[in-house]
Amino acid sequence: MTSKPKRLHPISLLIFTYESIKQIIFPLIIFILGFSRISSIAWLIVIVVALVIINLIWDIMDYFMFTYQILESEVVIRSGVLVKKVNHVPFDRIQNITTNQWFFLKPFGLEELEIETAGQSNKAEVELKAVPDTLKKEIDLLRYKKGTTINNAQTEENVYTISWPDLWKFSLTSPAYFSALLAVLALYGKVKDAIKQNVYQNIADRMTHLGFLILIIVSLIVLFVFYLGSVAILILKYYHFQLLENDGRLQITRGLFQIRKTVISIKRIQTVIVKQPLLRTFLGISTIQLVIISNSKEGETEKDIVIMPVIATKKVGEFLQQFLPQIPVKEIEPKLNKWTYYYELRNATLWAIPTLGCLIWIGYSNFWFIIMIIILGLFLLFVPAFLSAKRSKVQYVNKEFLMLQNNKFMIKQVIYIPKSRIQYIEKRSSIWLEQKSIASLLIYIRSGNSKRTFNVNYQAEEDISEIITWYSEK
Amino acid sequence: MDKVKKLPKDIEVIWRLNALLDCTILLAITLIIFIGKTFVSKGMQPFLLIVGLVFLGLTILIPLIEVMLVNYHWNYWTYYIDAQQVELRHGFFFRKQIIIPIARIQNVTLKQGPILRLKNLQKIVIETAAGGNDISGIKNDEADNLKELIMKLAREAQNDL
Repeated sequence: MTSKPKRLHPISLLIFTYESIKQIIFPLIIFILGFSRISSIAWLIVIVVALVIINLIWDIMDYFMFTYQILESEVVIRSGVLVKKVNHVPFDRIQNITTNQWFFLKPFGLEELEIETAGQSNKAEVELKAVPDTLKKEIDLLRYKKGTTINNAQTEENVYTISWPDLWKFSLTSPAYFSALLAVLALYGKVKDAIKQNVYQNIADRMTHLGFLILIIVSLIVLFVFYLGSVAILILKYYHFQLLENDGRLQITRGLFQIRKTVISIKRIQTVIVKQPLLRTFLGISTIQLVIISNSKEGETEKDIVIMPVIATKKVGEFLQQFLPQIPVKEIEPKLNKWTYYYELRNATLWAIPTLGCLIWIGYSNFWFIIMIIILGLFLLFVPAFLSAKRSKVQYVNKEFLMLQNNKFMIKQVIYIPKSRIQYIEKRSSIWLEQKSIASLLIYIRSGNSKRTFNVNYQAEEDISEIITWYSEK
Repeated sequence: MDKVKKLPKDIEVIWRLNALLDCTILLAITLIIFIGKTFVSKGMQPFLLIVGLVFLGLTILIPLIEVMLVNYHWNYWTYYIDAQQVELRHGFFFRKQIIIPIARIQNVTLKQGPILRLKNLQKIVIETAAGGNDISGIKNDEADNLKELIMKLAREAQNDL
């Protein structure tokens, strides 16, 4: 059942070209701007065209040197024009396989296939830009040799499909909007620098003529448009979200224009996190994510696989029972400890004094500015501190599972960690904390292509010691 | 091996040397700031003077504290290894207790810089899939034994990501 080395579908030549153009476009623009004063236009055009052609030839060579081969127990990728590279990926080292199908690839029966391993590179170990969409099945057949025929007869399947109301709820309450907003503000800062100062001054003058009120209305409209944009992106991304459990594997399918399908075997899951941003806490809904080992190019938290975008918090237990029955669900009730509150709020105060002090010193002439800074500062520093104190708790559920609840900025996290996935633990205390029987615990696990730490701070020492005993037992 | 061990007393010499090294580096930075002060414009000079004085303070204070704490530091640095786990404890003011199961160890590295070589010590780095931890320095032959022991135990324990 092994195949000969194959090339990618010729369409991937277009994808290669598109990606390499994306890479060189900015250096090229800078080059053009830099040289437009020194040399004549004609020469410039010649140079640019030459560069583009060289790039194109390189892409074509790249394409012809790239082959993949599926063997009995491994995938072999050969690539490289000048430096030849042969990459062997044994099947039992595969963490997960993801396929991406853009809508324009569908008529050709093609898709992109990514194989991720535990390697520490920051892109998928294998990236096949355009291959027949039967390849995935071919690999799976070889990977799970035993009993595939039985599975085709289908044991009962466990399926969840998102409904439209849920999709709306998810998109409308996502905090992703705020990060998008921050990105836009950063971009604005850059653009502002680029625009000539007098032009900017001119616009600003006119704005002040228009008056304060209109300025506020305009900025509100802009905010709203960005909000709608982020909602639309989320809907496109999570359109027709589906989770399917079959034979010890979870398959997640989502997307409208680009259908993304990820398959991960349940035994590769590192931990399960139930997340609740502040807004969703009020609405009583949660998101469930998997922490996995991967080397995809996405950011640290985007690597977490969402297996349940939106669910009523009350039903989380039921859901986990259905899809991941090995996880013992239990309620977590943080005990009230005055020292936890004291230390969290003290730390917030220690942060607040210098930062707010500096900001007030800068804007000391403007009364409203100071008031705004104080309110914002108190909100951003003390609310997370209070929530951390209120939410932090660690306990073991049974011999194999640890359950940890904490607060990250304003997001409530409940984390289920199997003992076997904890790489090591660390108890932190100090000469002063010990007198009050207070300690913190850090749990280190493998995540993405590096590590992740989950911590609970300022807990009763006996709780922490209990976990250490639990962890040390065989 | 089943008992809590301390680092060899010689490590204190290393820590004192390290404090001296920190002192030299900080002193160099302070000197650069004071020399640089004469080259900048008048307006910047008071600012650099303050920065320079702060660094001068640090040059005296940090190594002094380090040297004063060496003995405490040594007293509170312990390690313990059995068939299941490695346990490290250290810190006088801020205390840490680290537990690494043998089965989670990916590799063990022995390191020896020029200062450690003076006293025939080696640093041991115990790596897991989520980062490593150090044992600052133990005697050469003991370090080799320890490495062998940990690796033997790790080979026996099942380890899969």
